[in-house]
Amino acid sequence: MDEKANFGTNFQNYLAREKRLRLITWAATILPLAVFLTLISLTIRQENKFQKLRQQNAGLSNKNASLMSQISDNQNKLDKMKSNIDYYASQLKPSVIISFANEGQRPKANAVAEQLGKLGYDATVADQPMGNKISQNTYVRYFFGNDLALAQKVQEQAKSLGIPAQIQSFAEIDEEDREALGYIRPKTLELWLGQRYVPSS
Amino acid sequence: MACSVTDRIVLVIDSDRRTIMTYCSIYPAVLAVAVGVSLYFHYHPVQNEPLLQLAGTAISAVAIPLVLSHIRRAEALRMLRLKLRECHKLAPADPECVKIQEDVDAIIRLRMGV
Repeated sequence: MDEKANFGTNFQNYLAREKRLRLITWAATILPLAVFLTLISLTIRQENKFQKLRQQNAGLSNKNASLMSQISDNQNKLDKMKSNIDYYASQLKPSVIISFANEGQRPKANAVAEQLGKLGYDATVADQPMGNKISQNTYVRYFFGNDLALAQKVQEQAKSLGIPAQIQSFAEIDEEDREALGYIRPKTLELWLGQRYVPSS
Repeated sequence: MACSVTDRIVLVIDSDRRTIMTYCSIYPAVLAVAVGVSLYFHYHPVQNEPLLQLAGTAISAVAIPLVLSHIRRAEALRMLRLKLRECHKLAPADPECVKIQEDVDAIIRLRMGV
């Protein structure tokens, strides 16, 4: 009788165990599939990211090669400039530094700078009037022998704006005096509006 | 009047039927994943990555034990249904009923690992 009762309990356990097994089987199958799908999707996402990075990297490599080529070209240019002053001058944009004696001359100085800028010159106007430090007369100053023609052009432009300027050469000065002027590169000119110059209205 | 073991066999059959239904509910999920993964890799092939083989291995590892269990349980269910049919034919006092009960108890003990 006890054995029968015992087996009855065991049978209930068996049914409960079967129920548990069904749940475990379901979970043990679906969960790995879900994990697997998640891993696959993550892998694919990463792969796509890598693909984009590879494309970007290829683009950057091309840009890098182009930049290296530009650097090499510029280095060659620089070497050539160092060894040949005429070549150096040919690569430079002409520039004109405009100085003036008093505030009354500033609008004229700005007008000349604007006009020269339109003609392709790199024209800058001094921040402050030079007062007594500037010459009495108005000059276009040049510092290299080859810049005479350029100085004449600037003189003409100045004249067209009502500024009668003389040309003043510093091409023949010795090295010591040149150093005293500071670093001046070829194709750099100065336009000094002297103390006597009075802009016409 | 049937054998006294009939109720027990009915419960075991019901349990087995539910187990088989569980297996059957898993197959579509496995199939859907397999088809989905295959289609994805067909249209978005990933070069130099053994992902398709990996997917096939993982799905097989899940599906093969499931199919084997399903076959075993389906065979047991078929046998239990035969026994149930026999029970319905026998009188409660029939000595054959005792034998059937012993067979069913043996099956349960085997499954429980007793």
